[in-house]
Amino acid sequence: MRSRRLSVHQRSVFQPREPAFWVFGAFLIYGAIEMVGALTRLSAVSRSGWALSWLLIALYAAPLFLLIYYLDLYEREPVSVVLAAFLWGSLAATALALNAGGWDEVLARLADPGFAARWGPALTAPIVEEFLKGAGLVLLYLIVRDEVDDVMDGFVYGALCGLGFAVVEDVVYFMAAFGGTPGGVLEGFYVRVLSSGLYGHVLYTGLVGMAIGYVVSRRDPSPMRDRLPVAAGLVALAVIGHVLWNAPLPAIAPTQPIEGTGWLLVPLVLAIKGLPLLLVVVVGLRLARARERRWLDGALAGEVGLEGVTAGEFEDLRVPAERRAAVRSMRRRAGAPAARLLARLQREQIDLAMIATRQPADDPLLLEQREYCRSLRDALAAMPGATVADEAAS
Amino acid sequence: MVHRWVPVLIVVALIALVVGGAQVLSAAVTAADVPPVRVGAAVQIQPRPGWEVLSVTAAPPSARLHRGPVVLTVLAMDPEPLGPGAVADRYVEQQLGQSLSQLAVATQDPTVLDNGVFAVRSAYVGITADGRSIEGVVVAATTDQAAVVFDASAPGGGIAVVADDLRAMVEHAVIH
Repeated sequence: MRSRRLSVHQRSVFQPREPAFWVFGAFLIYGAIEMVGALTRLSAVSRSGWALSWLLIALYAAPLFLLIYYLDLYEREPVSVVLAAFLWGSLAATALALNAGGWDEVLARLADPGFAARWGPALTAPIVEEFLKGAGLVLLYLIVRDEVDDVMDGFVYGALCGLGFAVVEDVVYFMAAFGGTPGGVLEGFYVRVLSSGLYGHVLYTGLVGMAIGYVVSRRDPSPMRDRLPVAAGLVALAVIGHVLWNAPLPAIAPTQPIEGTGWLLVPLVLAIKGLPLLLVVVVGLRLARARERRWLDGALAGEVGLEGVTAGEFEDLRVPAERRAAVRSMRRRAGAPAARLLARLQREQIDLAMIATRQPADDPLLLEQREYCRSLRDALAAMPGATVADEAAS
Repeated sequence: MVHRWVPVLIVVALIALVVGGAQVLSAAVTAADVPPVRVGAAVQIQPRPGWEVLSVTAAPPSARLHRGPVVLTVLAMDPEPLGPGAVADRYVEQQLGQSLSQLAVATQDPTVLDNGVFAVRSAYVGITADGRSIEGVVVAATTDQAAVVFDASAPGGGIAVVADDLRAMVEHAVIH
């Protein structure tokens, strides 16, 4: 057996031959210098509040990161690439957004400083921030073009980029807007995370990522002129959702300091603002998942029964829960190495579907991938206990 | 290889347009250079391009300048023998403490301004009477003839945008 995954996927963000890699890296270094300095300065307000901010935000971000990462049921994205998306959101996009703060000054001049202070976050930030996060996703795509296969991939990268942005923005808000003391940080955590942690940047940039995934999809045969309006609609939806979220509406929203029934009003008001977009994204994700399954069915229809995939393997492959169950069953029967080999076979069969989508039936790459899947299956069959017959015999 | 650079350069150009455009446009639409502002008899500051004077008062000797949503208040006082730390403490207690709720003030950092005057600097955050969250920086300085407080405040994240302007105006202020 030999590894030939690199011919189908890049699998890593470290692609020094790609110009975008160096540009992406340069922006990340710039963002790291800017944001580490800014966040360190905020720690002067209250060391304990600062530490509590990071602890609380980690409790929120870590499970959400995993949830987003595991959303793509058929093919997990490479860890280095998803981390790059997260870091772009948390360092580069935040630093660039800070330096684009001059748009508020333009607004202050065109209207007045009071209007700019109240409406600036709704009128300038959504466009600037969604553009800057989206620009990072485009650069990431230019580094690892083969890793953005469709809408779901775009959502994963976009949502993680948005999560990175939200993490840093939340810490800044805890320290600069909610007082920075442990009490203020807890209040900020209640308002910005417990009451609204599912509505913000994760959704907006997830939609922007879906738009990018839709445009560059390798699974959709429709012409670009049909894809662009849909992508533009997704980006517009992200920006409009962001505008509504930042707008100083509705009037029933409690102002700080929050007291009494205001604590109950906060999640209600935030749900009015954020829940509709969350529901839209959930529906969008379900459609994206159904689209992935239709693609897999179509791509492997002609492959079932050939060397690459058996009918039984295909039935497991098309239902992610069945895929995982098959791997668990293999682990019980033949141990962890066999389970890993089966998981690898399944990944290679997904790649087989990808190649079958793009190449003619007699293409050497397709023949080679079928042969490779067969060799993995043979290797698996040779492992004691791996076949169902072995289990029955024991 | 060249064709791989084209989309990358387009993305970089767009980022430069959004970030740099904000700075160029804001400089274009804000007022031209403002002449030096005198605060009482002892203090004079030179507003940086883009800053505008909101008000200047003789009693108490003070001036308020703004750039977008960032406001810089300069307040001249009598000399304080206990040094700039005492001036900052008094300002925080009598001014910020009265106008902001949930006020949190960072530890004072002693510093020497470019003009050789001893000063302390500390950051703060708080909530205004109308419920807006703001962040700010207080710099208090003293000489034998005068004490002065520079208080810059802005909605969350606003200070960082004009940090260079603030540093230049405070560091190069003339304090007799």
